[in-house]
Amino acid sequence: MASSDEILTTLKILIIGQSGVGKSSLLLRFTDDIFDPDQPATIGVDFKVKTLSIDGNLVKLAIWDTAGQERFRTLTPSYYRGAQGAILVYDVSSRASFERLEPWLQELNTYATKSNIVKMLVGNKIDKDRVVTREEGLQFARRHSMLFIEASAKSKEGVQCAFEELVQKVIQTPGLWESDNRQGFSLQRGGEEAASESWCSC
Amino acid sequence: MKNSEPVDVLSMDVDDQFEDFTTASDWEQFTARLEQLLSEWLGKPVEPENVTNNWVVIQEKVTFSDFPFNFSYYRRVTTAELNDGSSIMESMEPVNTSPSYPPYILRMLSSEPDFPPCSTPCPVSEFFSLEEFAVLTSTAAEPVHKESRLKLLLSSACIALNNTTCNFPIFIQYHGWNQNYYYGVAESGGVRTAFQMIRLKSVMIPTYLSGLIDVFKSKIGQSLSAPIIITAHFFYNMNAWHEDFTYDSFPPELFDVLKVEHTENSGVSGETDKESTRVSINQWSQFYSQTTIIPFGSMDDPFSSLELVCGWPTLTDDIVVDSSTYTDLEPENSPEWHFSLKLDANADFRLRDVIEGIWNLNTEYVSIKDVLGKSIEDNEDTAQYTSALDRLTADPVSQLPVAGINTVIGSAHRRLLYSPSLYSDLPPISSENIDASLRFLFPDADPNPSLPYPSSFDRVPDLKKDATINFWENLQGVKSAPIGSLVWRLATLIGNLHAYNGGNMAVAHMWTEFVLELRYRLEKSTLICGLERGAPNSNSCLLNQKLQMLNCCIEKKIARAEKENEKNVSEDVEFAEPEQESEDDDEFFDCDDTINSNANEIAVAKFVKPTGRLRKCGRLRLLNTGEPMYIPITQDPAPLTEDVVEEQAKILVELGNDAEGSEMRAKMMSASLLSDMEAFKAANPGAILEDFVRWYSPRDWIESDDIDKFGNKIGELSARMKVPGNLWIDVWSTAQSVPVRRQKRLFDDTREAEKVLHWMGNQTLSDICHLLFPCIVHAAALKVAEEAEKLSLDYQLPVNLPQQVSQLSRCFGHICGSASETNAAKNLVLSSLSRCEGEITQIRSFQHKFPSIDLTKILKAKQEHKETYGPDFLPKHIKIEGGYRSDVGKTIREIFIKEQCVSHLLESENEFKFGKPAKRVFVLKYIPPKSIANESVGYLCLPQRMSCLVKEDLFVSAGTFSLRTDLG
Ligand SMILES: Nc1nc2c(ncn2[C@@H]2O[C@H](COP(=O)(O)OP(=O)(O)O)[C@@H](O)[C@H]2O)c(=O)[nH]1
Ligand SMILES: [Mg+2]
Repeated sequence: MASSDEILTTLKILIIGQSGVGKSSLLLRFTDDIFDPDQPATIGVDFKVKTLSIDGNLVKLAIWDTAGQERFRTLTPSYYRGAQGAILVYDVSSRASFERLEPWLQELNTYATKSNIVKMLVGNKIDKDRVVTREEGLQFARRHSMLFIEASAKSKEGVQCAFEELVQKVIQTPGLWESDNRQGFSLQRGGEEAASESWCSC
Repeated sequence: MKNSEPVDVLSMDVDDQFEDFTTASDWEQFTARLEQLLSEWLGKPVEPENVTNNWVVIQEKVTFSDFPFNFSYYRRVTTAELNDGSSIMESMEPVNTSPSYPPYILRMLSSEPDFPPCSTPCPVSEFFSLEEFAVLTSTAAEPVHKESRLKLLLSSACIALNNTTCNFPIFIQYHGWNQNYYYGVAESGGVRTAFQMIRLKSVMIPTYLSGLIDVFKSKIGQSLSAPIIITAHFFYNMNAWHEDFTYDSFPPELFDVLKVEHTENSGVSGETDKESTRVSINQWSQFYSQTTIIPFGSMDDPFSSLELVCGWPTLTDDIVVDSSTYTDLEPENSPEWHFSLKLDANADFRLRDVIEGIWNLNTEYVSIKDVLGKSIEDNEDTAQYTSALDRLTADPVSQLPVAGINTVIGSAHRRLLYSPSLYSDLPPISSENIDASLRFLFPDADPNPSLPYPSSFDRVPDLKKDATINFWENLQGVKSAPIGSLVWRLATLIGNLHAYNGGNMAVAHMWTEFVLELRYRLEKSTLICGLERGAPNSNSCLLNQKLQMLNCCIEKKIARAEKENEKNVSEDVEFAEPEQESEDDDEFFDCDDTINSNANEIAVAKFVKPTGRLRKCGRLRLLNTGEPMYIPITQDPAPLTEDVVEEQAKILVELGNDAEGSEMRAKMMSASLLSDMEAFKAANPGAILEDFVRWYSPRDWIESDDIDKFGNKIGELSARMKVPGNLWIDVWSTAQSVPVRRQKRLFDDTREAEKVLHWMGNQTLSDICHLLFPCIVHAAALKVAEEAEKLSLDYQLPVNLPQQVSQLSRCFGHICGSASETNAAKNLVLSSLSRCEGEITQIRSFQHKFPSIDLTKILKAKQEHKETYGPDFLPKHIKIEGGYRSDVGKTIREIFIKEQCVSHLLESENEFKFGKPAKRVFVLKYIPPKSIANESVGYLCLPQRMSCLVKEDLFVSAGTFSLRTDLG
């Protein structure tokens, strides 16, 4: 099935969250499989592309990385439009980053143009000493109907899975995306689980 | 009458039909092909894709020598059968007769009523009362019209039937396609049946029942051992509604609505308006959505005529008299009345016209200027045009178009085009009407407007019906303008103007006036009313965003002017003590773009004087000087419309996916960072990058627990900020100390405003179609829901229409789908909307004519028996319980009487008679008693049938005559 290298669809994914929680590092880990501690702090928005194979279908991801600083937050939301998926990141070693998640969600709900956009919560930096428990993250995600996963850009844990899970969910959401080449897509619909956290086994 | 004599298939001998052996092989091939198809059809299970309106239809091509034919198979299936997929063979009801009759004869014996007839894909089923048959039709240039050829084909059919044990007839369409004229043959179970038609245009034939009985008897024999069973149906038509019964939706004339004078309780006053109370649907459409100006319904009655059918389902030849001198068959004596309303296929529907009209602009790639071109160029050149603008805008008060308009708000409508003094041509829209239109769009020019904008655009009417409530809620996702806002009013107004008040010219005229008013407002620093305040809302349509953008610019302009005034009042603001500066977050600041050329020198000159401070940044002190750290006044980010965002995003994407691309992007986006750094430096002389980071990106400042001499926690920049040559260090080193008021503006409102107005002025009709269409379909969908809500019965709005409208609304603007996708989405929505408009109008018309009929019950019955009631929304042949004597019966009589009054056929109502029916249908059946069914020979031992249709100048009969073949 993966024989055809035609792209099924192009998806726009956002990464948002406070500055320093590791958004750019997660993205770099996902796209280039490296961790660069010297990566500069993002200014405004940045952008990366990666093609992913989901159930034998190629999906092109255009991932928009945003700067989390207060001042940039007036600039970045205009780039939210048209996004099918959003990854909201916090740092498990910083309670402050966890406690300020709510405003990000509000902003997302205000500016995202697709009402059924798929949202994922990622607790990053699990290689460090955590101050936010997994249960707390899970609860937050459940309350806001988000996917949830913990990860580390440094150790690589959970990163690939986070993106794959998100894309899978987007593809399964009817009306959220449009096929680039109008070919059939082999849908493997997940069960209609009530809470939408993912229990990733990869 | 040539060809009117039936070919006697029964006496035809198959074997001596051909002498020519060259045709023999063609003929054999042909017959073999028929056989093959028949056997295919025989065992075929019902496949839903072959079924329409409860009929299985399969078509195949066959050729006889070089002559092409269509060979079609028809079989009626019941809904139950369709659902469980069983085959027709099992569903034949067993009849208690001993002889094994073929199904088409069994059907004659069943007591199933002939009326109302089921919908059918082929008239053969109605003529001969059949549920399964096949038809051969020539597809060559000429039809089968030679008798010899007909015989040849019938003999093929006969052989094919014999060889396949098919128990349904095969028909040949004979003598032209447009005359429904068929011959058929069936052969099964020892019975051969001829299906014959007679079609006469002359009046030589018997048209009364007595004569028809004679014809029937002369065919099957005179000494019948059972009476002839007769069914009769007489059809009466009413073609001109008297005004008492005509339904017309009479929507208000546009300018009557717009010119309504202000009265005490007409407007909604913002103050007394309680946001929580829901308004009635009527109030809502009049004051909140302005959907009153959207026309709805048909121009004339949606029904062109009424057909009354008087039926006598069970008569016998010994009890009824119908002859040229006397008849028992008068409508008043009929035990069974049915009626149908026939749709007027040419009816014009207003809502559909409006939407289609605007959509048709889609292909008009002509600019507004060119549409109006002649009028403008003939009368004035561009220079004068511009100077006229200057003149008008220079002195607003003296140029007021209508005396008495209050200028408190500082706004009045400007008109240039077709100003009577400048133009001889008549304008597309009269100046009086333009005035009314502009007051409708910009009611704030009037101190006491009759249709002011509501204080908020999200009011919902008090809806009572679940279907409407759901529909309404599902329309939330439409990307148009806020309901009842300026763009909404503009779209519905232009939709109406285009359809009823001047077409393309009127659109161009209105648009131009609209743009002139916008320019006027910009020049006069008057905010545009009827818009949501704030930056462009990306969930609204592009036109709404553009106007919001323009309003942002006007807002900036007003604020700058105010600032200027203040400056004049106290020149020394800039040198005031920092502590006295405002603490207000929202205070407006703007940059003067005239003084920034030698920012450098100014920065040096004023090095020690802090400027542009907003407020202290907590308790932080600068690392080097120990001075309190101040948050600088910063520039607001530029408001953006979606098309601009999209263009910027495209540029960012085009920079590539690699590190270099990322760096370029960061540089492009660092303009606001530079502005903030410069403002920070100006507000905090002696500050270093570390200080800036502590305010701007505190998480990149890693603190320890130790305290320095100024009370700051000792700390250091994060690793990523320390990387040599990173952009933050770069930008900091180039940043001068410049307060925002001396910086170059990130958002140049003068330029942006000009861009919007230029863009508005350069639209083609096609562009305008795209800009207005989201609002038009949204308003149309709400209009439909509103009308459904107002009905006295529950009307089922299409469940997926809101979703389709939402999808369509997203096809326009900057991100648009392909033309074909948009077109498909539009067709889907338009056909749904028109269907609703048509059906709601039919309901209204029906209820107007027959207030005593419970339409809900009828519609429900139709839902359950689709196959008998036809494809239209209202069922055909609605049964009138109680017939002539019922209320409905009396209403129908009244309708007929009034029609004759209209056409002056009646002196007084007492003279009324239904008169001659337009059409009469008789079915004559002979059913032999069981005693002789197996004994005798000839026609009299088998059931026989003849149906006749009699009109003024046409007689058609269809006979089903059977003989036994096995008895000799
Ligand atoms: N230990 C650890 N550090 C991380 C991880 N992800 C990011 N960082 C560090 O956190 C800081 C901020 O990372 P960055 O990706 O720039 O965050 P952003 O501002 O959200 O884009 C950098 O110094 C990274 O090296 C992680 O998973 N584990
Ligand atoms: Mg970053």
